[in-house]
Amino acid sequence: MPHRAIELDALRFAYPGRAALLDIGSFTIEPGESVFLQGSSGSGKSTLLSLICGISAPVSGRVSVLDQDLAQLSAGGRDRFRANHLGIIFQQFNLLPHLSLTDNVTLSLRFAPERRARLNGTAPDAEAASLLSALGVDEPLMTPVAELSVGQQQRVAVARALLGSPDLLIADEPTSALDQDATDAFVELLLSRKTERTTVLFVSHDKSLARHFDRSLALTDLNGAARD
Amino acid sequence: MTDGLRSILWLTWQSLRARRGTVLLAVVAIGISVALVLAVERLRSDARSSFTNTLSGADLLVGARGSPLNLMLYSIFRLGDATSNLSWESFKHFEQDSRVAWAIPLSLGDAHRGYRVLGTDLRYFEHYRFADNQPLAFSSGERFAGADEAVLGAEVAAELNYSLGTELVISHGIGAVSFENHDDQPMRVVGILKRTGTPVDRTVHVSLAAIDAIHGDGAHDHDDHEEHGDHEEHGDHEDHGDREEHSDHEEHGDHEEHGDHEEHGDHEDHGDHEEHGNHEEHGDHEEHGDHEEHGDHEDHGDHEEHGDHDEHGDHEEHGDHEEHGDHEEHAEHDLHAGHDHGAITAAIFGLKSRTAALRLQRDINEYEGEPLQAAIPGATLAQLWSLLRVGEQALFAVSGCVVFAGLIGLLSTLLSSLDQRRRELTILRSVGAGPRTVFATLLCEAVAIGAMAGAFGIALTYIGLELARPLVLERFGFALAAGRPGWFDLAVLAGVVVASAAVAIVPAWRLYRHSVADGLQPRL
Repeated sequence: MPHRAIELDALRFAYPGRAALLDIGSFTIEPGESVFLQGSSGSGKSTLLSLICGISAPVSGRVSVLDQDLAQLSAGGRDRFRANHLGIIFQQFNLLPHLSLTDNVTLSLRFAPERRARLNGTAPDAEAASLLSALGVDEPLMTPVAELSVGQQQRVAVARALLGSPDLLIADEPTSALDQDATDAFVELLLSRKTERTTVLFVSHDKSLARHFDRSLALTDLNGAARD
Repeated sequence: MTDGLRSILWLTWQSLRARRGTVLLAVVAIGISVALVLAVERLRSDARSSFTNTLSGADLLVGARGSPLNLMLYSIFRLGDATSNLSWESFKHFEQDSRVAWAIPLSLGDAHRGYRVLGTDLRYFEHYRFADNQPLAFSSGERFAGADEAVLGAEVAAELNYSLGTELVISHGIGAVSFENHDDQPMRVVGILKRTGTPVDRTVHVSLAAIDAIHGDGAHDHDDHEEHGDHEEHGDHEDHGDREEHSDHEEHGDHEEHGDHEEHGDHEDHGDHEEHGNHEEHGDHEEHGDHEEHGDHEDHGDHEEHGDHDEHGDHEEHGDHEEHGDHEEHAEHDLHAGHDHGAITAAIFGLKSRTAALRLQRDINEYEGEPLQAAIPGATLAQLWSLLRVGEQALFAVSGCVVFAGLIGLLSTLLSSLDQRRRELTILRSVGAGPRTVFATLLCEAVAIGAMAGAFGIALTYIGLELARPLVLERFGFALAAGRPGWFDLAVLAGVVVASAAVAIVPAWRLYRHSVADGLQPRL
């Protein structure tokens, strides 16, 4: 168990030629904690998540995930680290449309031996089928995801993020396309599938979802650049 | 196989499957260009091999003066036509040269349903060799034994569905369609040769006597009239310029079989003996009586030039026609070397010693009797290859350019799909596929396309050549070998694979350098 799930220190990020978008002095999430981060559209929520995932690099400051300073890793190393330890639900799901349900769900395991090992010998396809069934996806497993409804695609994206019990689950506005009832049901389902050791960072503009999480905070409270 | 490699192959397969339409077009485009390269090479090598294999063991080709290459093309490969003939006397002259081991006369110029007819004699079957000194062999039947018999090449028999006993009619000229058929001289198939893979397969072989008969030519080497003691007995022979007919009368007892003498009634118009009819066909005295009707035989002079009575020394012994009634016997005699014929198209000479080839070639080229030329087959083929080399190189250059264009098309396809691929490959990166995996996947796709295109090109080449084989044989006179892909094909395949990978390096490198964040439009 790591000491810190996420630790940001003097983090500063700006797009080239533009003013700083993020300026965060210090921010920490403990292992196993579920955190709701609220922010309005364009406030830099997704950029912050991309920094935490190692997809983007800060201008300055330190991003540590599961006690690993991401700046110490190469590009390939960050990809492997992400695959082994992080489950990500993208706002636009980022599924590969030509792949089947199963192939999309098991995709990250192909590059994540540590995460695959957590299946304890269960075949990834079988685990994916079990997870999809639990999430209410009843379509044939070989159906290309392009043929699924948005709601079902969302569940497939969740299944992909959950498969192999990642240490850190990151969700970026995953309920933006859902009505309120469906949103609540989705969040409850998501949290019910997480293990005790899984840390959750859920980002949304919808403040009403805060009640599902251990801790809730607004990005504006963290971001000095937003306050300036 | 490592997990990484397995993942790359899996991603490659999934990507190719998802883009099967585009991939198929790329494979077809490059495959066709590969097929072009391979076909050019196969045609080149098979043409050389076929030409080289067509004639073996011969030392000289002899024909009327002109181009040695043309002589070889028309006499051996049945391509084109002879511009002039070689007189029988000249052939005999050199055939009897002490340096000559054997000689085969060749008479061309007629056809049967598009297949060339070759008039020759039995020496053809004894001495003609193809490929590695292989003799001609019969799949059925035997050599011709009479002027009304024919031996077919394997292709002729197979294509025309002829068998032993089939009757065929020879047409004047070498076209597939002729309005001048020698219907009065039907030939009977008595033999079918085994396949040789050379123009022999597409040849109808008949005796020189048959050619003479068809064209109304005669053997011209005969005694003076005075030496034919029976001429007076045969009516107006002394008025008939065509002495060959006289000698034939002596040899043919079956007069009733030669009733068509009138068909050769234009004897009066021909000053030289070569243009006169077939002795075998004109046997009876009664028919010679008809000659009187044609008159003007006095106009056919220079009989003395067509002597060679030595070869017909038995003519004098046949004063009485009735005593020489065996037509078959005569025909058999006619098919062998000793008998005389009209002009021939060319001749193949085998020498006792190859070292004599150059000297005999010079003697033939300087022969004063008539303008002749002798060609050494190997040297003439080398001349042919030399002539063709520029064309071959041009074809290779063109087909190489086509392959290059195909690969540029592949590059264009890869680059144009890069935007779409960028997002896809970024998603792969976001779920853990490293930049090397992405680079390798794109490269692997290109290699797979190149390999499939190469394999398709090879298949297309061999299927296409198999289908084109009869056409090539018919039009160009050489047989395409039925072969399996060889080292050259594999080398081209490897070249295309490597070139495809090289072409893909640019887009793969761009994706390698591409950050995950760019592809995800800084949103997760």
